[in-house]
Amino acid sequence: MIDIQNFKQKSIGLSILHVDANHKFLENSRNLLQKLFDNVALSDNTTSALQILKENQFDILITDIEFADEDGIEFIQELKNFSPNIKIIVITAHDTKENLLKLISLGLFKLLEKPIHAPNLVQTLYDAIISIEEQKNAQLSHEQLEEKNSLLTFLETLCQNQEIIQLHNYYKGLSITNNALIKNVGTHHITFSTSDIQLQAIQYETKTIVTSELLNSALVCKNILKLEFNSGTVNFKDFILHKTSPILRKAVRVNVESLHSVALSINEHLFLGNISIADISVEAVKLELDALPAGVHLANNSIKIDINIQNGLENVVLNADGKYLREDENDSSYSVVFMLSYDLAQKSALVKYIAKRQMELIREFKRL
Amino acid sequence: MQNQEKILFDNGTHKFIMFSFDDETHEDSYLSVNQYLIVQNNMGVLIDPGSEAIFDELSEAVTKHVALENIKYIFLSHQDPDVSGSITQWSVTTPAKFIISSLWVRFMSHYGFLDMGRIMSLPDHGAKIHFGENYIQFVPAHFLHSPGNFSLYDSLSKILFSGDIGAAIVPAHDEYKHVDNFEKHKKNLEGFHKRYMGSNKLCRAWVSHVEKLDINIIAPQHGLLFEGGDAQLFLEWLKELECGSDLLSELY
Repeated sequence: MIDIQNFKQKSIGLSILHVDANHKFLENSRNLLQKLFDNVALSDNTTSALQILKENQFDILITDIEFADEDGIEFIQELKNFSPNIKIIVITAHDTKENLLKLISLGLFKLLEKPIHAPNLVQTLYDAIISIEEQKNAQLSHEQLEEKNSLLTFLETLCQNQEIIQLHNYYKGLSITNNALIKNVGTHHITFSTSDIQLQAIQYETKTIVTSELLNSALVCKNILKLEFNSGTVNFKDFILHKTSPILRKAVRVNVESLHSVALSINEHLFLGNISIADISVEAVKLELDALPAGVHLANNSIKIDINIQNGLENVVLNADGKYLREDENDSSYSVVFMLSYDLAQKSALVKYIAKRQMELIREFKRL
Repeated sequence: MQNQEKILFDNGTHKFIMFSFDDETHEDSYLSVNQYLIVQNNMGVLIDPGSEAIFDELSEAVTKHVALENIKYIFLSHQDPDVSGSITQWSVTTPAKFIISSLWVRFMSHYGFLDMGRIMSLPDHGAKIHFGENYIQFVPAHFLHSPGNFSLYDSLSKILFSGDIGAAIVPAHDEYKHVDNFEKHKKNLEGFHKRYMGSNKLCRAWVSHVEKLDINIIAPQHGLLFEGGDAQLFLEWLKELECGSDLLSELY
């Protein structure tokens, strides 16, 4: 017995078309199919069914093969031209022995005889869904394997040609980037040679981003197997291509660890939870909140952010309008990023603070 | 100073702008400092942006011509503080790459910078950046005065930014700063060039290189601009100048 909840879970995003000349059968089928699928279409003839199939992508087709003026086998042959992967379930009251071989050659998934019992149909549909899922997974792993192999070949080429690449790490927001060479690469390891300062940054952050003018995406390396200052090399266990990475940041960000205070107002109502600054740039600030404001979506409201950062003997004061960008849930807090807009005088103070903070972080990093 | 900005070239898509936002005390006189900006199709190349002291004024003036996020390159002819002292501020406010001699790359952490991905280090022989049929060329000017030193030639405006070469000890002007009588101007050039430039051999090497370029204006980092015939007169003068190691006996 198939669990309907489980069925629904697995059929998310899948669509089904049922073609049959018997209107009553179609109507009963609709009641059942709509409980199992989000997208259900019905047709009482093959001409309109072909049109529907040309205009929309379907995953499963239930069809009879005997129609008054139409040939069900020809219908299946034609639809296979533009829907080669559709799962075909034939339900018919007619003798199918002569057509069975043809149907099999056309990729028949299951043949059922009328009258059909609902549990049998549900089981067949469930089997079809599982088959679709398995095919997708197999295709995915094949693509992943091909992608990994072509990445390996590409990295080997960079290695053989001694192409200069860049390694990127971050120390409390401070970007540390230096040139490097790939010394060795295999399925489960990659070794780079680079400067001492970059090795120090890698030792601190461990995760390292690799870029090259020849690479479309950033390569993210994790799990250090060996890091040697003597030979100036680092060996990672894992590496994978990532579409997004911090190197796409347009503005320098720094962590704010000195004494500071933040007030966040949403539609002129002061947020009363605990807030601190995780990092700040001239364009945006990332705030750490112990809870999100209840019942208010930050994206749709007027946000005011008042910041006071102690900077030596001076205070950096920023009274900015904030525009919600995104939020992330951490273990015991939330990070929310707001784009900032403020006047020129405030910008000057913030630039000075970030520049000074960069120097502080460099000194701190060099002492590590 | 009132006249702090002068557009030297503008054809609608390409501009070469001079700013004058700084001066330096030099014995009993002042050495005026020039900063330059090239805007090509809304992308900016900032030239020798100077010290932290003028960052606010200069960045405000620059934004009248190009948004800070559209500054693609910042060229630093050499490592002096009146050239490179605001690297950190510009690194925070623009996504620009910094173009500088490879000799000075290791000093970047002292300027508050560890992101070598934003440095384009120039090899000794220089480089070219093409835009369409035109280009910006980084011309070697080593030991004139810095050991890792470059001039910048913009082929479209035909302006040669010469860095410290051509610098003159003159007070900051309110009017457009250009040489109108080279013979009279020579006395403003001599003291600085004899002491700061490496040798006559080095001067000749640079002149022979830039003589091949089609130049309308020589624009130094300090003092007055040389236009047309005055640019040629300056090159002739520099070719014959005894300076630096040629005058060793005066130093020891």
